[in-house]
Amino acid sequence: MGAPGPIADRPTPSALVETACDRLFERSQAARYGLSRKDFGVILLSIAKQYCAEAVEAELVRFLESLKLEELALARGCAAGNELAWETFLTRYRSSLYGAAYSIAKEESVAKELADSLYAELYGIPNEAGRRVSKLEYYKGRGSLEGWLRTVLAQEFVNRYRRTKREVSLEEKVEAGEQFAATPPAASGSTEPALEQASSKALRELGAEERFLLAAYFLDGRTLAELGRTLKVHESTISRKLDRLTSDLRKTIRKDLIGQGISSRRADELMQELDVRDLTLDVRGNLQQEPGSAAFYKRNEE
Amino acid sequence: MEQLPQSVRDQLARSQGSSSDHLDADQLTAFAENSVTSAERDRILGHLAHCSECREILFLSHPETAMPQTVLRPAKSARTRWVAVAGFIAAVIAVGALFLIRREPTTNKNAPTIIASETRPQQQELEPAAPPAAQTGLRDSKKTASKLSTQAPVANERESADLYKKDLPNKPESKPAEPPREGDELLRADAAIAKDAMAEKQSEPIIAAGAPRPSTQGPASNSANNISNIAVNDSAPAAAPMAKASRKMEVEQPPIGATDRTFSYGTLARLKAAGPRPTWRITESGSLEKSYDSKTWTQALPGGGTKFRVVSVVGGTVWAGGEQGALFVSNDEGASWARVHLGTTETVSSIQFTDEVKGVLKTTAGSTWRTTDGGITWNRH
Repeated sequence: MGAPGPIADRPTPSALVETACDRLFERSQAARYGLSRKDFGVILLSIAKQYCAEAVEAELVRFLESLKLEELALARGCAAGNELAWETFLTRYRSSLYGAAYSIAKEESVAKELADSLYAELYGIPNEAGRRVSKLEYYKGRGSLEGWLRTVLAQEFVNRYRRTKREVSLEEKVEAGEQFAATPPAASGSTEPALEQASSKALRELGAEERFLLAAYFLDGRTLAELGRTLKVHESTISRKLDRLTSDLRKTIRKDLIGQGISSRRADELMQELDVRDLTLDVRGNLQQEPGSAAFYKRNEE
Repeated sequence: MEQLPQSVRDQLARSQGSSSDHLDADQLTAFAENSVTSAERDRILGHLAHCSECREILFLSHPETAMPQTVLRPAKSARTRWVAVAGFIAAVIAVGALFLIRREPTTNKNAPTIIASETRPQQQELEPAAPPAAQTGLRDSKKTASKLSTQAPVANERESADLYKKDLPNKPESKPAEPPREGDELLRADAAIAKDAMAEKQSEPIIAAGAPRPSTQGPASNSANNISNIAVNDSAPAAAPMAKASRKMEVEQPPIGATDRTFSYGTLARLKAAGPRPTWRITESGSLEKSYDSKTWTQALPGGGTKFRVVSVVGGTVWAGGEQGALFVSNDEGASWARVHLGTTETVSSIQFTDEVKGVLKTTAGSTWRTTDGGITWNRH
């Protein structure tokens, strides 16, 4: 039994990993789809090297245990051209694939085209050497096969959309009224280095999830519901998080600016944060009419 | 939602790069399905924070929630809801009041006491050697009450009083008073007993109409009794014991609502028409016997060698069980019997009815049989 260490450092897997592979092979029922124990072991180790090359043995086994083994065996069986695997795949995923394509494209003809093209790629396209390469070979079993298919469809849709967008003629743009579209406001590019520095520092101090939330909500315009669904929390939680985040950011930047020797009024101006309550306008005096003066229409009459 | 400071928004927009090293479909799927480690999740979130392309794919691939349901009809106003609640409460009160009104005649204290007593689903399970004397008072009371229930109202109060005068001296002689039992409320002052007896005598019209006196003819002589062919030498109960029995029936009158659950008006009519009820026992030799006076016992069911172990009376139905799975039922107080075949040779040791249709039968072997149709079918459990 080899010493525990990163899997990338070892030419052959240890007995512990081999035992785990035996167990996982049985669990995956890969033999049904024509995969041998050796083939499946190679697949597992290649996945492990890609995602946790630095992991020690125990972590590696835990990682392998977390894979969707049965779906992985099915996908690789399909990629190898096993008939039973294809039959099972079509039975399980055909309808859901078209449903996912429709939910992404929102248009039936585009959805059908999207799903059909993916089917072709899943079945396999011959490469330069004449070998048929199926897209299912890229499935690693990290998530469900259905989720993976949806993600691949989304990738394909985004690529197509971009490709199509680049090919839109100027006339079409004119017809679509895009000649009148307002140019997007350029980043204001704060001229105040202190503010830029404070904002940059405040952003750097945020966690990954907080930055993701800010970007998805304020830049992409995602809804609270979408964010909640993605992060597996309720949308009200997202709302509270965003509220607290923006409030804390303001306070942090303002405090930083004041710490750099800028007056609080100037700091508020920089952040465009002047509150109308702070204005020194004589609202009462302006609204009160002079006691003896007539109303404006009477003045006109006079 | 509070707005993001413009400077931060600008910084955030500038940080969005077009990285060529995107997340693969497996990573995005695993992240969306929450099947990544926390360290990997942070790495993926860090990438997503500055890669708009991966964010777009992530949100596109994520299944949408169900479409909001269209409201086709506006919700009912609060006023409508209150009307509905008030209507419901009124309906409950009306049903409750109707229920109480219908129950009142059966729970009325002025009604014949026999009704409450006899309609209670009873189960008399007598051990073979059990002396019936312990239940004599109750049985007598039942007989007396049965007689009372078959008699019409008093036609002439004076005549009734005369009859009472004739009967009163004989009664203490015909039947000795029961020995006092602890806690028994029947034994009261003689004055109270005499008063009760007077009250009872006032409701003996058949005697007053010239029918044979109960003191000489016995209880089964003239009533609409279908077991009149059975020899009975019951001496007429005396006035004082009758009074005692009457008082006992009053004491034993069950609380309101406790007895009339299984009572039907058909049962009431049948009981009113019935005469005195027999008392049942099983002898040591396993013979089933009945008596109307607890003195003279006659064999009720010539079993042909069957040894009985248990007898149970519910309403007007008598059940008798014994060895070799013997189970007999009589609906005419023992005049005729029908055998019920359980399909077992186990000895019936217990027959209990909770009402006239639901009963449980047990055998010495421990098996249990149940009926929910008055004994027409028995199911083993």
